[in-house]
Formats: sequence, C-alpha cells, structure tokens
Amino acid sequence: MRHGISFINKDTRFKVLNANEYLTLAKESYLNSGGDPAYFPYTDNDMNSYSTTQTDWYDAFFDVGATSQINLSASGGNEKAVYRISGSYFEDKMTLKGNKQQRISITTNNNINFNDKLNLNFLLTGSYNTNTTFTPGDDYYSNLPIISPYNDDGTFRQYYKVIEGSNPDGSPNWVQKRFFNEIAEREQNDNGQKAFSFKGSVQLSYQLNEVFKLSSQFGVDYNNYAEKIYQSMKNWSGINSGVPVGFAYDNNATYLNWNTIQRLNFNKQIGAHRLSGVVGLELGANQSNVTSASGSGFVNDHVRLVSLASFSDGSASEYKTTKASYLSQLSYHYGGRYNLVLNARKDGNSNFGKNVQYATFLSAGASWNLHKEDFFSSKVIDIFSLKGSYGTNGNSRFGNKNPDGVYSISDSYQYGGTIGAGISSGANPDLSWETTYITNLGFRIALWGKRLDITTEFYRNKTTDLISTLDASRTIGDTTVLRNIGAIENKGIEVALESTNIQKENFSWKTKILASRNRNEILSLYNDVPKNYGISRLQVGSSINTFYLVRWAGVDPRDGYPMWYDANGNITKDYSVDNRVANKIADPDLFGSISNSFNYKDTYFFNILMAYTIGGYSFSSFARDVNSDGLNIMDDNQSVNQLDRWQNEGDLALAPKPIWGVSTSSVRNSTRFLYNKTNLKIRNVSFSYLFDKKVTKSLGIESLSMSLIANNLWVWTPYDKANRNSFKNNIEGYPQETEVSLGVNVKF
Amino acid sequence: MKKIKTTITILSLSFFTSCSDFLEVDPIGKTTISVFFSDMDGIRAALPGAYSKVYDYYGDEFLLYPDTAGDMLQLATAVENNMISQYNFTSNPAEEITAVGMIWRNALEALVNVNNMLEYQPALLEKFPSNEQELTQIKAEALFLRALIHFDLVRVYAQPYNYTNDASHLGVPVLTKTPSSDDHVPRKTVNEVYQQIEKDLKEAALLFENSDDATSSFYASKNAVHALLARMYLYMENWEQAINYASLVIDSTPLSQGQDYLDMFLKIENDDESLFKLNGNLKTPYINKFYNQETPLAIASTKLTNLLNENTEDIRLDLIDTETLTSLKFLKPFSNIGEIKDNDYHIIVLRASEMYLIRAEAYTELSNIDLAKEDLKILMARNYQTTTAAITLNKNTQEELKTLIDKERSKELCFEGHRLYDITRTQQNLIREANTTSTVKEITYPSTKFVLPIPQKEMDVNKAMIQNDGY
Repeated sequence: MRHGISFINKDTRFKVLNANEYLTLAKESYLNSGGDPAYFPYTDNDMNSYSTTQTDWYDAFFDVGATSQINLSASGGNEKAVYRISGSYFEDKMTLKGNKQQRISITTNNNINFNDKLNLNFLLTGSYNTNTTFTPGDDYYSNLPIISPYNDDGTFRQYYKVIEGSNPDGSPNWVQKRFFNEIAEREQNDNGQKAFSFKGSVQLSYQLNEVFKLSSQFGVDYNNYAEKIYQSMKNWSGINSGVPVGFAYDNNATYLNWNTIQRLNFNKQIGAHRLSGVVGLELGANQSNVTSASGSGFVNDHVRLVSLASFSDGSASEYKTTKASYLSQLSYHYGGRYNLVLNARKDGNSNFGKNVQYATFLSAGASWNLHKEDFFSSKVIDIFSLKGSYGTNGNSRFGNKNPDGVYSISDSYQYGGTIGAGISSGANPDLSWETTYITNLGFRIALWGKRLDITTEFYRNKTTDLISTLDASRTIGDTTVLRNIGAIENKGIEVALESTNIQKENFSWKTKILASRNRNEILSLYNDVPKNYGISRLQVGSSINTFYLVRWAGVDPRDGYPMWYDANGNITKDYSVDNRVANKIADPDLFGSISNSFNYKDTYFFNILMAYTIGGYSFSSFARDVNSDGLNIMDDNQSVNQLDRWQNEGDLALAPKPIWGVSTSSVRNSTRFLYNKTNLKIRNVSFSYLFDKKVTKSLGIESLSMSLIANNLWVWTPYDKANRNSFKNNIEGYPQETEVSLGVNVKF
Repeated sequence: MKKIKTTITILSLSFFTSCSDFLEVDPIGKTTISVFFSDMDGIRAALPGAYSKVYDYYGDEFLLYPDTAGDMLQLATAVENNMISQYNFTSNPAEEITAVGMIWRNALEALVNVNNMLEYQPALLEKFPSNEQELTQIKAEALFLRALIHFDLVRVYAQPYNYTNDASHLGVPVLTKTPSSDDHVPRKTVNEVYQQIEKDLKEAALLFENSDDATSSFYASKNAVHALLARMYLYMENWEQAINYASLVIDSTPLSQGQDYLDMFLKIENDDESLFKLNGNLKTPYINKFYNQETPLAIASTKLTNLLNENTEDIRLDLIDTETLTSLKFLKPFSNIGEIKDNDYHIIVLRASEMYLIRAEAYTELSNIDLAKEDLKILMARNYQTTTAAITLNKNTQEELKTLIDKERSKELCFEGHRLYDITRTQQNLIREANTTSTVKEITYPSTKFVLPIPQKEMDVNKAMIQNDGY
C-alpha cells in the first residue's frame, strides 16, 4: 500500500514574465518598433484591464497531485504445481489538472509438472484502465499574464480586446480577438479513455531424453482502447465558423499481437566438457483495427453522443505486419574456465521490401575465468575474468518507406468527393542494407573478498552503408529520403564499480557507480560530400550528432542589435547561413549514475540515486520561441531572461533590443540556443524501516515495513541563477514533477 | 503422452512449411508506384490526387502571398499570422513551415504527382488501346496542371518575365519527370521555364481539340488551357497572342451577371464564368482561417475600399463584408446548425472577367484604344449593373488606359492572388497607404524583395540550386 503526492518542481520549471514585467517589456518593444503609444495594443478597455490583471498560468493549470497504490499477492504450491496470484489498484490524480488515471490489474502465474518430463507454464495478466486526459499545449507558459481566464462576472473568457492601428480619423482601432481558453476546455469538454489489456502465454516443454528438450510457447497480447471526446459548444473548440455546434469523437482501437516460439534445446555433459544449444523458429504478427466516428451539430451540451449529431462521419483503418525468425545457438563450456558461444539468427518482416525481407545476425563470443585456473593464486583477487565477442548484424530499417516508392489512397487526396491517390514516398531503388560489425572486449575483477567489484567493457561498432533519413530536394516530392550515407563507428567504454565501503555487524554502506562514454565518428561519406540536415551536419571525421550553427556573438552594446561570428571568426551583424560552423557535438563526455545505500541493523535502510552528465550540447528550439526579442511578444509570454535586454547605449546586455513583431534574425538558429548538457540530478531518495520481527510476529504478521520515497528532487546545471532560466529550465519547457510517497508493506 | 508429442511435432511442422508466404502481407491502402500505375484504376485515382495536391498549395500560402505582399490588404499583426514576414518583406530562407518553404514544397509535391501520370501514361496507352480517349483526356489535364505549377512557381521565386530583355534571369527548375534523390536539379532561366509552359499548354490544347466541352470547370479543359495561355502571353508581353487566346475564351464563355456573379463566390454553383477552379469540398485551407469573419487575419485596405467606392453601385462591394471589411470570396457560410454543409472552399483560378482585362491591356499596348475601351465597358456595365451604352469612358491615351486597367484589375481580382505580380510585371513601385499596419510602406521597382528566397533546406541539399539575390 502506497500513498503519495506530486507537485511541480519550482526550481526546474520554466520561469516566465509576470504581468508587470510583461507589460514593461511589451511596451518597450512596441516603442522600439516605432509604434505610437496611443495605439499600444494592450491598453485597458471595458473588456480587459491589462494593467491590473496578474494571472499565474502555472497555478491555473497545475496543482498538487496524489497517487495511491494497493497491491495484494499470494503464492503457494507443492511439488506438482506452483501458483502466484496478485492484484493491484492504482490511482493517480496528476499535477496537471484534469488528468486522472485509475487502473485495476490481476496477474496469475501457474506452473504444473505433469511428470518429470512434461511441464506446463501458464501466465495471465489483465488490466483495466480509466483515464481522463487534458493537455494544455504550451498555454501554461505562453499565455499572457495580463489576460485572465475569466471575465469579470466569473464566466470563462472567450474574447479580449486590443488596439490594432488607427482608424482613418486617428482614433484607435479597437478589435475583438478570440481567446482560446484551455481552462474552459478543461472544465467543459470530455476527454476520456478506457483501456482493457490482456496478456497471456502458455509454455509447454517436454524432456525427450537426457539430451533433448522440446518446448513450444504461445503468447497473445490484446489491447483495446475506447476513447470518447466531446468539445463543448460553450468554448471555441466546439464552435465552427461562429456557430456553436459541439464536436464529438468516438474512437475504438484494437491491437492484437501474437507470437509463437518452437524450440529444441540440447545439453550434453562429458566429463568437464559441456555442449549445449538450441534451434528454433519464431513467428508472430501484429494486427490493429481502428474505427472512429465523429459528429457535430448538437442540440445542446447535454447530448454528447455521436449518433445524436446532425452531421456525422466515420472511418476505419487496418494494419498488419508479420514477422518470422530462425534462431540457433551453440555453446561450449569447459570446467567453468572456458566458455564459447556461437549465435546465428535470421529475421524477416513483412514490412521490408521483397529483396531484403530477411536480415541475418551472426556472432561469436568467448570468455575465460582466469581465477579458476590452477596457476592463479591471489589473496587479493577473488574473481578475474576476460571476455570478448564479435558479431555482425544486417538491417534494412526501411520501415514503411518502400524502396519502390509508394502510392497511397487516402482522404487527403480526395478531390470534389472523388477518392484519389498520391505519392506518399518516392522511389528509392538504390537503397541497400546496412551492416553493423560489433566487437566487445571486457573484464571483471573483484578484490578483497568482493568488497570491490569492477566490470569494464570496451566496444566498437562499425556500421557500413548506414541508413539515415536525410532532407531531400523538394523536387523529388518528398521532404526526406532514406539513404545509405556512409560508414560510422561508435566506440566507447562502460564501467560499473561496486564497492562495499563499510561492512560492520550493524552497519553497511555500499556505493555503485556507473560511467559510460561513447564516441561517434563518421568514417566515410559517399561522394565525400558533407550533408546538412536541419541544424546538424554530417562530415567525415566528426560525430553524427554535430551541430551546424552560426556562432552567436552577443549583443552590440552600441545599438542593441544581435551579432554573430562569420566563418572566419570576425564579428558580423548580418546573419548568414554561410557562416555556420560545425564545432559542437551532442554526445556527452561522460554520463552515468551514482547510488549509495546504507543499512543499519537490517532495520533502517537509506538509498540515494544520482544521475550525472558531463559535457555535450543540446539545442533548444523551445528556448528560441520564448526568447524572441519582441518578435512573438504580442502572442506569447517570454522567458524572464528577456529582462536582461539592451536598453541604452553601452549596455552589456544578454538579450538584444526587443522590437515588437520585428525579426532582427536574433531568433534564427545559432549557438545562442545551444546549452551545455552538464548536469547533476537527484533522481531518487528512499528511506525504509523494517519493524522488529518479534513484535510483528506477535501480531500474526510475518513482516512489516514502511518506506518513504522521493523522486526527482533536485537538479543542478552550470550557470544556474535563482531568478533566471538556465539549461535545466530550457530542456523542453514541460515542468518536472517531484513525487513523495509513503508506503506500507505487510507480509502474512 | 505420445499424443502430445505428436501434436507438438505437427504444430511445428505446419509452421515451418507455411513460412514461405507468411511474410507476404499487402499493406492496406498502399501500393508501390509501378504496380499502382499498371492498370487504369491507378491513373484514374492519381488524377483527383494530383488536383487535390494543387488545391493544397493554392489553399494555403500561395494564394495569399501576392495579395499580402501587395497594397490592397491590411493584415492583423497583433495575432499569430503566417503571412507576417511576406507582409513586412522580411521573408527568410529558413521559414520552412510558412510561405517560403511551403509553397515550394507543396507545389513541387503536386508536380511529382502530375509527372508520374505523364510518365506512365504512354505505357498504359499501349496496354489498353481501347481506353485511348480517356487516357488522352488525362494526359491533356496533366499537361495543363504541369504548366500551371511551373507558372505559379516561377512567379513566386523568380523576377517577372520582362525583368531582363531576353528573360535570361534565373527562373525555377523545369521538371518534366521526377528526378532521383541523387540528382541536383538546377534552376533554368525564366525564358526556358516559359518555353516549357508554352510547350505543355500548346500540346494540351491540341489534345483537347477533339474532346467534348468540359462539363465542369473543376477539371482542366480547352477553355482553361486557352485562358492560361492568354495570361502567360500577357506576362510575356506577347500582346497579339494574348489577344488571340483571350478572344477564344471570351467567345465561348459569357460573363456572369448580377446575382449570378455574386453567387459564383458566395454559393456553390456549377455554371458560372469560371474557366478553371479548384474544388474545395471537405478541404480545410488556410485561406478559410485567413479571411474568416470572426477575427480576420486580413481585411481590405482603405486603398481598395476607396477604389471600390468610386462607384457606389459597384456589385463587387457586395463581396466585402461592410462591417469587418473582410473578403467574402471564399466564404461559404453555414446557414444554420440543422443544415451543416461540407466545407466548400472552392478557389477560382481562371475566369472570363480576367480575359477581358487581359485583352483590354493587350489592345492598349498595341494602341488599339477603341477595342480596349469596348472590353472595359463590357466589364464596367456588368460591375455597375447597367448597360454598355450607359457607360462613358473619357480616357483616351495609352497611359490613362493603362492606369485604369491597373485599377480595374485591383478591384476585379482582389484576394484572388494577382496583385504583386501585376505590380512587378508592369514595373510599378509598391506604394501602400499611409496607415498600413506593415513596417514597409514603399518599395521601388526593381527590388530583390519582390521574390521569395529559395528555402534553405533546398539550398542545403541541392548543390545546383542558386539563391535569389538579396537573401
């Protein structure tokens, strides 16, 4: 049983301007654009009192959430049969108001031995989910703080009034604008989903003789989603061209996946030699059916059924893919010292083109446990083993982009009611497979009675004929195209270090550190021509995740206009894409996690998990929208960082002079919106207490424990400032949630 | 136990044997290109698909751009408006999802759909000779669409035909078949682009020669081809040919008069003066949002309303909402809840009134003042709801008439995607009214601002592409 609360992490949420700051900045931008103050759009009027409204949209959309979970499980059995049954109920009222989830689920697992040769395993899981959903888009940060979601009389706001230029007689031209009120949509619309999921599998195995075992497995995964949406005619979502009609949608989707695996295992031990292996066939299919109906034109908001709409429409779609795999494995072990494994696998998928329907995977691996050798004797080293493997993996990754080019028939090609067809992906006959060669080398060493255990793995994956989606010339009728672009190499190291720092009778402290580093390099590109896509560039010798951006040079203290570096490193005030350079990569230098756990008298447990990233860059297009230097200020609230703008000659400002509705190119893609990814997070902290067994036993309880868990507590990034946004606020804009929960675990 | 063993074995065997065709699943609603065009049904479905793609670019930024960048519109700037940078002449190659990128992308996507039909048509003709008439009709329509798309692209992304003496300045790529993804397609000169347009239209005209008269202007027809030829020759300043083709259309299509004229825009009529229009049934174009009545993103500028108010009887005043000053040309209002109609945002591309204006302009240029005045009087009589005899037109010099025709074109073709091109092909300066909401009040001809830049994404991947001056 567990209950918890969740709330928005104030420290990492994106900070926007408050009403006063917004009005100051908006007026300043407006004057900077040469606007006449008499026609400032957000001037108080009978409909809006902009100067006195102070709306915190985060408060309007977010609240403290609550979760609770109850689990019950029982297990038992005898030699012939074992069972385990569990049931749970979960409820989550989320921090984003208007979202709620309830789930009931049941799992049962049975294992029956008919005799010493025939065994049956049976697993069933069923769950039922009810969701109420609401998404405010980006309104929680982009809505203007000077507009309230309510009118003076408490009803939901539908309009606001602004000045738009002047009438020919010089008087301000007042216009009424629609206000798309998400709060009204949350309260008046329905958006609910009911999901039923069922998963079952049966495995029957039969030991033919001492060496061979035959097993057959069949699994089904069935999901059904029923979704009902109603857009009320009281707000804009249910109004069409000024007429309140109401829209209702009723969607039903069914997904059925099944798979079956037939395997023949063998296992033979001769002295110190052991040979084992498996051959098998796996078949499966994914199928889906989606039917949807929509309706509009309702009598009033009380009738919310598609069938009672004056206009309704429906559609249905189906999808099916099948897959088949042949697999085989052979392994050889000698005296616990030498291990050798050979693998071969062939995968097919109906999505792939006819010529490339199957992909083959081959690999070989070996390991050597040195510490088991006779010649090895050390008091310090307990385990010392080496391992290595090599394999290839072919992949066609074409997805639904058939290399022959595809025409599809759909609604979007209809013309005057006649159903039509159009090209949905262009012909791409030269596309071929990509192949990855995977090399792994590693060792494990454990010292001082396994007090320190280090596992290290080096890998090098080389992919040739790499398939990548590239921007295409629009002349081929598509925006992107799949190409074999060249060869890349990924190499890296992964280290896991487990240390028992203190091990006393009553107290222990353990630390586990994970660290990874990956480096990516393009080894060759066809035609040797660097390729650009979006803000990235592919060039030989660089990472595939290399940014290709104009370098930001800050704000000119003389006039407040933006500056960049040109390709030669000189400052320029003209933005030009010819000045892009490729010198920053997204790959971090090092990333991983650190966890520390403490145990006192086997009664008190404390655990803290931290995650870290060092180095690497991230481009935030979100940051671009909210640091628009006046360009979007009339529609969208802006980052508090915009307060550091240029105002007077000589100002060493971080943000350029804001100009209402005018682009000085300052928001065009540049390193201004590139952030160093270095960060440290406290992911999880837990504390638990186990009650004294003697006490609990006397109450007829086998064990009783309580635990307090907190998730997403804290984030640190460089350049953090209390009243400004830094990388942690700019990642995507959606605020992180902190959860704190208390649980009780009772075992009878 | 034996039984179970046998069952498992049989089960396994049956899976092994059925495996060869297990992966043969036909994707639903999708076919590879060559299979799709292997029978008549494919090309029959590709035709509406191609029209629909042409509609897609017309319905969004393409139709709005020349009016936005002209002097007859006032844009709402305090709200989100896709056309702001064209209005303020701050277009930027990186604008991928508004005018700069979308016109390019969508028009070229339409072109690929058209070219695929033209590529597979000959093979189908060989395979199904009995369908010759139908296939000829399809080819003629496809050729018209190909000419139209090239003409539209060259007007947006290149300076007008008469920008250089021999039209040797950069135009747009000429595509008569779909290039492969390895090709780097260069821009051709404006002259070469017009040559291709002319060639396609002439061929289409020949193919239409034996066809029946079109029943609906929703599809290309002989009239549509002649009308586009007339417009093309006007841009090329080939006055004789402009007169020839305009006359062919005028002789076959009467002007819509009175309420019929208004209904051409306000209602869903089949029989009107339009020569080619795009069917907007069940479409949701951006023009609908742009010219909506509730909170319009653009309204008629005072310059336009003043022009129209020069004669208070002008029927075209009824096509502008008196209160909001928005265009009613694309509005198909919902009458009431009970009778919700499908969206029918039809877009008229070519119509007879324009042919009179083309012919009048060509006559003027050839100093054939009387004939020019005759054409103008016919239009004025319709617009002022009177007879030609009651119209007095005391403009007699070439210059006076040219100014009058420019004004008449502004009034007649407003919101229909002409204004900027009329300014640039007649080499005028753009002069907006004093209280325009745009940051740009005036641009002197010639200017690099009068064309949109080639989108950056195209520049990045296509090594042969050359950017327009000034971007």
